[in-house]
Formats: sequence, C-alpha cells, structure tokens
Amino acid sequence: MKSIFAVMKKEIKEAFRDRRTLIMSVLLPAVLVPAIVLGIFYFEGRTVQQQNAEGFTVAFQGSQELRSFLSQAKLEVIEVQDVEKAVLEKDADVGLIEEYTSSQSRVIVITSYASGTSGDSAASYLNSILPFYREQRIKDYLSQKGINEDVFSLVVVQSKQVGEPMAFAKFFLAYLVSLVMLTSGFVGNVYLGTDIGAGEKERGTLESLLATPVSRFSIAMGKWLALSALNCMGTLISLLSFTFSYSYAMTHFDMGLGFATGGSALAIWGTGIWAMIIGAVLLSLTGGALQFIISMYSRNMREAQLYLGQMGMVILPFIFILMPAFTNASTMPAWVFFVPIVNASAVTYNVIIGSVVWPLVGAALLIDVAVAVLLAFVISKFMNRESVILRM
Amino acid sequence: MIEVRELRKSFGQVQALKGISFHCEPGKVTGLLGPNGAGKTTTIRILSTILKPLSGIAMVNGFDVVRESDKVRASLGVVLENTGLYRRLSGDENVLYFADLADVPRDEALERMQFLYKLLEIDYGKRQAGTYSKGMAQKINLVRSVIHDPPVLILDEPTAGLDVPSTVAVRTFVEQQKEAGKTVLLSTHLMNEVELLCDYVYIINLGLIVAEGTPEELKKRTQSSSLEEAFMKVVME
Repeated sequence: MKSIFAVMKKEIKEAFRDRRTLIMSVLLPAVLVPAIVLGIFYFEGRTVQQQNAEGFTVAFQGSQELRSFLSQAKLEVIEVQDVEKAVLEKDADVGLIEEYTSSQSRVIVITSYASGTSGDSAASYLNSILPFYREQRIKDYLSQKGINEDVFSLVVVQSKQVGEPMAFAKFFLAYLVSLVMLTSGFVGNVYLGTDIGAGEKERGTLESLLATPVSRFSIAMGKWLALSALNCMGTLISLLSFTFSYSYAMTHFDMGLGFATGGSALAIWGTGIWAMIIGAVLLSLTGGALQFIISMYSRNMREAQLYLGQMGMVILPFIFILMPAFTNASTMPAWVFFVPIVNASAVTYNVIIGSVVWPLVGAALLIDVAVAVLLAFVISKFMNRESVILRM
Repeated sequence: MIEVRELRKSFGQVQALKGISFHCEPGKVTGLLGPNGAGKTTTIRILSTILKPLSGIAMVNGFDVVRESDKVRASLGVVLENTGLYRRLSGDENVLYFADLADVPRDEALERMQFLYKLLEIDYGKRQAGTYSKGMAQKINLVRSVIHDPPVLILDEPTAGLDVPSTVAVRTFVEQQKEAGKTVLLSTHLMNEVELLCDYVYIINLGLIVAEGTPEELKKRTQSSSLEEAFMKVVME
C-alpha cells in the first residue's frame, strides 16, 4: 500500500509540474466548459429574442395598413424601390412586397437572403405574425359585406401542452452534463495518459522502475490510481464550472424554453449529487484503466497519442444510442444501467429529472465497481507481459 | 554474489541465450563483454527480474530470480543502458522516489544521498533533471540505483556517451563500490574500461559464453597485445 501511494504521489507531482497537464485537466475544464455553456446560451438567447420581437429591418412595398401592422409588431420598416436589392445588399434583414391582385385580394411576398441566419429568423417571424394580418383583413371584408365576423370563429383551433413543461430543458441539461462527464472522466487527459506508460518507455525509465524492489502490481496500481484521480479531478472541475456557468446562464439569458423562470426546477438535488460523484469516480477509474493499458502497450508517446486520441470516438456511439431515451424525457430503459460507461449517463439523467430509481442506480454503481476490480486485475497481469513492457 | 547456470531465453524463434553459466564474486568487478546482440542485455534483464528465463538458474545474493524476485530486486542496484530520469522532478526527488520504492526511511535516505553526492561531486540535486547534461544525469542515476545500499550492482554501459570528467567520476564510483565489498557486474564495449576496472571477464557471443578469464589471461591465451585484439579474436572464431 505504501509503495502504491509512493508511485501515485510521484505521478501526481510530475503531472502538476507539466504545463500541458495543467491546461488539459484544470484550465480547460475551468474555462472552456463555462465558455461553451455561456456561448450556447448567449447565442441561442439572442436568436430567440430576435425571433420574438424587435431588431429586424423590413424592406417594404405595400399598403399603409400593412405598414402599420408591421410597426405595431415592433419591426423597423423602410420603404424601398427595389426590395430584392435591399435584401441582397443587406440594407434590410428581410423584404416584403404586398401586391393587389384584385380590389380585395392581395399577395404578400417575403424575400430573404438565401444563406443568412438573421434573414431566416426574420422571415420566420413574419410568417408567424402575418396570419393575424390576414385574419384582420378577412374580418374587415366580412364586415363590409354585412356578415357577422363571428362566422370566422366557427372553427377554432386551440393548442394545449401536457406533461413535464421542463422536459426539454432537463434533457438539454442531462445531455450536456453526461457529455462533460464522459469526455472528462472516460476520455480524460490524453497527454497525461500518454505520458504515464509510453512516456516511461520513451524516456527509458520503465526498466529502471521495474528493477526497483517495488512489485509490478504496486507500480500498475499507483499509476492507474494517479491517472484516474487526475481524470476525476478534471471531471469534478468540469462539473463545478458547468454548474456555476449554467446557473449564471439561466438567470441572465432567456432561451424561451422556460429556463430562466423554471431554473430552480433543474437544481440537482442532495443525495443524487453523490450518485453522480460516485459515477464520475467510477467512470474515471474505467477510463484511467483503458488509458493506462493503451499507453503501456504503445511503443512510444506518438503511438499512444494516436490510440488515445480516438477514445472519444469510442464513446460517441454510446451517446447516440442514448439520444432517443434522453429526448423522450422518460425514465431511462433499465438495460442502460447495466452497461458500463453508458450507465454513468443514465444515472446523471435520472438525477437531473429528479426520479432516481435507487435499485437501478445501485446496480449501475455495483457493476462499475466490478468492472474497476476486473480492470485492476487485467492491469496487473498486463504489466507482467514481456511482450508489453519490451514493446519499444 | 551472482550465480548463473545454464540460462536460456528465447524470443519467438530467436534463441537469445543458449545456456550460459557464470558467476560474480563480492568485492570484485566482473565484466560481461560481447558484440551487439550477443545476449548481454537479455542476461541483465533476467538478473534484474524484468524478464523470466526459459530455463536454467539465476541467483542474486542467494535469491532465485524467478521464485524470489522481490528479494532479488531488493538486493540489486541496476543502471541500464539509456536509462533516463524523470525530467520534471529534481535530482533529489528522483533519488528519493527510488528510496521510497525501496522502503528506505527518509532520514536514512537523505543521509545516504548526501554521502553519495559528495562521492560523485554532485551539487545540482535541487535542479530539475530536464536541465541536466548526460553526465550529470548519469551520476544521479548511479545514486538513485544504490540509494538502498544494495549488495549487488549491475551496470550496463554506465559511461556510454559521457565526457571525460563524468567517465572518471563513474569509474571512481565503481572502484569504491568494489572496495566496499559489493558484487559488481559491468557490461561495456570500452576495452580500456575493462582493463581498468574488471577483475574477471566473460565474453558472450550469439547467446553463449565463448571465453572467460582475467584481462591478462585473455590476452595471453589469444596471444594478443591488447584486450581489444583478444576480444576480436575470440568473437571472430
């Protein structure tokens, strides 16, 4: 135990002296995760704001009635001779031409720039408000003809939402947190993973280390635990910075999804957080073991980087498999809890939607513990293979 | 001491060792010479318990390298060819890490480290190992390998690529270890080093011991004026 601790201590000490490790394990999670979260919320929030109201400029040709309607909808209306030219030259976000086809009938043409996001948003906004203009014109026409405008309301279509109003917000949060956990915990710090096995071979320190009185089991365990601890640290920093940036974003950017008002409903609650932390630790152990095995098998750091860099690709299929379960906003299917790596996402999801099925969470954690023990066994056997340690 | 009998090792179809036998006595420096690919490194790796032999017996300080590998490693100080240091640790930290792995109490380790630093004229232990020259690193490497005061020392090319002052320092160190009664097995390509340091020599070629004796005996037997000439005659036979 003492020698395992000695190996672990040395690996962590070395890691903290390496600028690349610090950047990957501490700085990136602390800076990049908030930047991504705040960036997503900021740009999405801005798009929603634009879609909802002000800011769009409309190049206009048409009646005074329609112009007044657009102004009431808080759009900036500019009268132009050539609507298409105004849109192409970006003098306006969108163009609108109203043409009379008879004394009462008219055609409204919306013109938007083919590859512009603000033009799409503006056109979409116009499409959503112009039915009200049409309705008003029809009512005016009916009134002129002496027909009660109530006839227009003979068939009324109403929409009603049922179910969990925060479902999408929860899916979004659960998905992002799972992604953070999987990338930090399982994939971890590639450079550190590379250094811990292949680095020893490349520096020529591995054989000296193997010739010391300490057992190979202790060397393997010490290295594995150090790698897992640093991966876990990165995960926890990521989760912490995610939580802070998410809370900030929810109170400052309204994405129109009810995040700002329903933010408190998304709070990760007490006991569940422990399940997530245990999940993150176990995920780090699994990821650390795979990183260590790959790194130790590699001839040199370049080869190890090549393999370890692909570990992210390994988890992508799992994330895609889980997507339908997330978007259905229902409880995860039970089988997911029995699949290592994937079950960390399942536990996270259940914690966030607030309906933890403890027997399934317990089963997931037990399975992960069993996998960790199995991997420890594999690692210790792996270190005894001459074909591995002499593969240079 | 080191005792090797009928040691064999294969890597797939390649027979690296075809049944070699030799022994090294305490208080003496024994040379293990041979061209590249002769089996020297494989022998050293087996004695260091990094590799397991296919058959035969190898004993270090009375312990079997297969059955009592932990005790063998506790009795050994090994400096392997192209051994590196942990570049982000200081020299002191490199040495004390190995002391921790050998379970040497910290006070004892510090005392011994200072003694060895004085012996090898090391005054740069606080600096990061990444800043060392090859000679500086090799001296720290020597201190690191004997920090637990092992009775047996295996040195594989310890002066390869070193400048003259560092080479002299390493040779002085080896002589001092010999005077302290340690068993020293030295593998080197430098024949003048062998003549200066070795009491007895084994020449290995193609996995077999092809000659043995003191440097003088080898020269006499092969009617050579130098050990280098004797070595060439033995290997070319």
